[in-house]
Amino acid sequence: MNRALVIGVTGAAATLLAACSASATTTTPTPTAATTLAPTSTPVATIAPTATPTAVPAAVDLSGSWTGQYSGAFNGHFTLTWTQSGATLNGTIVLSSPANTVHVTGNVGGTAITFGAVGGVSYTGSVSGNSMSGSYQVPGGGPGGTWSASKS
Amino acid sequence: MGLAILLIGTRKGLMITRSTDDRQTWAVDDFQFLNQEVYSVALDTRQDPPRIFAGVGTGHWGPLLTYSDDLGKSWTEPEEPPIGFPQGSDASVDRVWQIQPATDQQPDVVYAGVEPHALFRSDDRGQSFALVEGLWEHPDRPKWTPGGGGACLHTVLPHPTNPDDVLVAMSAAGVYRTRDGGATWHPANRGIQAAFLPEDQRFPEFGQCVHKVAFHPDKPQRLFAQNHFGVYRSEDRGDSWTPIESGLPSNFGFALVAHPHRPETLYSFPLQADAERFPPEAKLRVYRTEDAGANWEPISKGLPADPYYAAVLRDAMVADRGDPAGVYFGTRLGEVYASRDDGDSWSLIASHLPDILSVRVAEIA
Repeated sequence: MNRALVIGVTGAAATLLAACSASATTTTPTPTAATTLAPTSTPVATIAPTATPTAVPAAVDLSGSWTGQYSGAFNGHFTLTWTQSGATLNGTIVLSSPANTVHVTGNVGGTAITFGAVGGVSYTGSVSGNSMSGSYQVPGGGPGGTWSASKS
Repeated sequence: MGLAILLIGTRKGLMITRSTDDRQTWAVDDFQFLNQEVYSVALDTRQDPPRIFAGVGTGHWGPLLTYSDDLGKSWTEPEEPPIGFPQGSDASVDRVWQIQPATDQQPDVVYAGVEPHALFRSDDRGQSFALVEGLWEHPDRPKWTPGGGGACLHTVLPHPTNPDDVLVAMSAAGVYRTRDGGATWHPANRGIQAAFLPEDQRFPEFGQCVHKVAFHPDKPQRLFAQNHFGVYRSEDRGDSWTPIESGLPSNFGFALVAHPHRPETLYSFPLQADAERFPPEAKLRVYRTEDAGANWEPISKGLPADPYYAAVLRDAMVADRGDPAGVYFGTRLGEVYASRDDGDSWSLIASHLPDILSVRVAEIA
């Protein structure tokens, strides 16, 4: 039933010293994690494009209250309240378990929606009429799941 | 000792370290669950492969209880939350405070203590957990109050030979014990003072702010408890308690660890006071008794002499099963100290970590 999730591994920043040793520098590092080294090649200068990007107009107005649920590694229900300005979304999400109210911001372009909150919280999905759905991901590469909502 | 694994749960992730030279040196393996609190960790060596459990707080979505069967290289991604209150309940799990594998007699049983005060039990080695209804529905429950850290069930102590006998400790509800596998629970706090209550109410049946309970598996009737003001011993598995704090510089603290082979030996990390949560006189010292609390000695060989203004939390001190025993503690300054000689001397084995919340160790065959 459980899938394996490989958590992203970073080089540990801790100082690791020897236990019960007269020397504090006899660490025997045997890291199993792959280390990614910074490239040593000379960076190539890039010139920013001068063309003015064309804004994708929001095809829908999501302003108002949406109720929904999330499932997967976590589950519960939520209420999203959006104020939309162009393609930009601002609002709150009220989660049920544990009870949590969080300010969220996002974007909608065509039918695609992304939103999130401080701390790396991210939701992505698509909008279709009065319903939207997608997936969420725990920061740091942790497990996630799916969510869906409909306009109240 | 072969491969030793030391798990260090911090405010910002889990560090896994390992030693292959009888605990002389430790190498960092991984730093995982970045930016997420790891209040509880456990190493279950009852089956092969060993299983690492982690109680991770994600903030936005609440806690995750997950496990790894490859010593932390990968973690389960559950298709549904492994732990949670039953449908229809108004409660939600706010934090996983304790993950405790049961005894060898029940190799698939794992307990989890959570906030709010509740105990969960898994019978499939941690894939799914069910609420222990007998404790959740206890008539005392409406009168239980949260401690400073929350309404946490932070200690689970299964009896080593009687699976029906389990003891839990909760802040600030006290110690409770079941003798029928969790169906019924009874407070076990007689003799423990609740110093924060009015003077004429200081010995209630329950409501004490117990911080940690420890015992030696060879002597399960003898318990030790560190309370919010008070260190106690019980010789009847919690039916009654007597103070053993004489000789300690303070009766306040969190961590309490039993020696793996000597039932008379216990390690304590006292703090100056409730409102002064650093070592007494700002001297980083572990206190050890070798006569079940009659006498205490400070041990500081190898520990910093400079003033030290950080605490050791309730699950941030632990002992391994080596002989001599290894003892480890992590501080809120992000340092881990280790002894491989029963606590006689100490060395710094990790530093510059985030605030340390939990430490566990085990030998892997």
